[in-house]
Amino acid sequence: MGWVKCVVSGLLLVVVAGLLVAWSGVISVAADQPHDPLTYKLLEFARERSIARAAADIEVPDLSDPDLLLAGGPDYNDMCASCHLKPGQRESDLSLGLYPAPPNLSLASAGQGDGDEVQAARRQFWVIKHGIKASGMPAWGLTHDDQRIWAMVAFMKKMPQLSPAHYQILTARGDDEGHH
Amino acid sequence: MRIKQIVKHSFIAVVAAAFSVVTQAHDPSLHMKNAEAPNCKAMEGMDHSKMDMSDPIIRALMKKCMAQVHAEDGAAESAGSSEKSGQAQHEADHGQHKH
Ligand code: HEC
Repeated sequence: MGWVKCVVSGLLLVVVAGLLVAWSGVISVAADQPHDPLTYKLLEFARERSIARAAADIEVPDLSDPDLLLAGGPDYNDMCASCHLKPGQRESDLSLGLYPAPPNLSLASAGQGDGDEVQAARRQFWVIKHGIKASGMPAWGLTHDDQRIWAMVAFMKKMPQLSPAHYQILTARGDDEGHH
Repeated sequence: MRIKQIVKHSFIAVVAAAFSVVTQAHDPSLHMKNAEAPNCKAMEGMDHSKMDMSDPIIRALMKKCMAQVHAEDGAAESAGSSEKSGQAQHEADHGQHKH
């Protein structure tokens, strides 16, 4: 029984110490003050493991239909570009001010996984639908159905190939309605 | 654990504040009023013989611009200002939505 007591009081000590540190206010929550590299790596590792696990069984639909680009483009432009930028844009108030920083999704290097397209699509779908805690990334699944989210995934997949002019055309909402 | 929680909640508060300014849940139709028209003039410079018609991007572009030709009448008023700066415009747009 002795060792149980030992472990429990050890744990208690850790909890109390943690509370004291928190209470002292020395932990910075400023978004303009980055984590130390170790903390960052740890959080990143936990995030990637969590997403990979949660997204593993998601079934990826056919994303090559041009209509998906026409549906996802305007949604992306309205809801995401302020943080994740668009072709030809390098920064915005939010891309600079948020921490962790939103990746520039108009670049091919962002979010496409390690060449595994299916896994990359799963990952993006999951992140868009559920968001990422304690970052600026909201959960869009509360207000948007899967169909709309997949359309954005399809659009994001093509975005690195779009010129600013083509981006403008695909994302303009101007006349979606038609007037016939 | 507690530290993480505190850090977490503070982050959420800060970020939620920044975020609520620019984004709101919305139906596509809410955007129609201030909608920008596609600037299909940019397509005219493209060499059509080099277009790959099996490329979803090209097909989407063509489709969109076809739709624009047909919708010209309705889009005429907004077409004049189609070159306004996208980013600033959208943030302004969001500010106007009342939910
Ligand atoms: C308020 C800013 C903000 C908005 C708006 C926003 N995001 Fe994000 N997003 C972020 C941040 C910050 C991250 C990074 C989170 C992290 O690193 O833990 C992120 C991460 C992501 C990722 C994962 C990127 C990667 O490869 O690591 C995807 C995909 C994504 N967002 C898609 C979207 C889409 C699609 C929308 C629009 C529906 C959107 N985001 C809107 C802030 C935003």
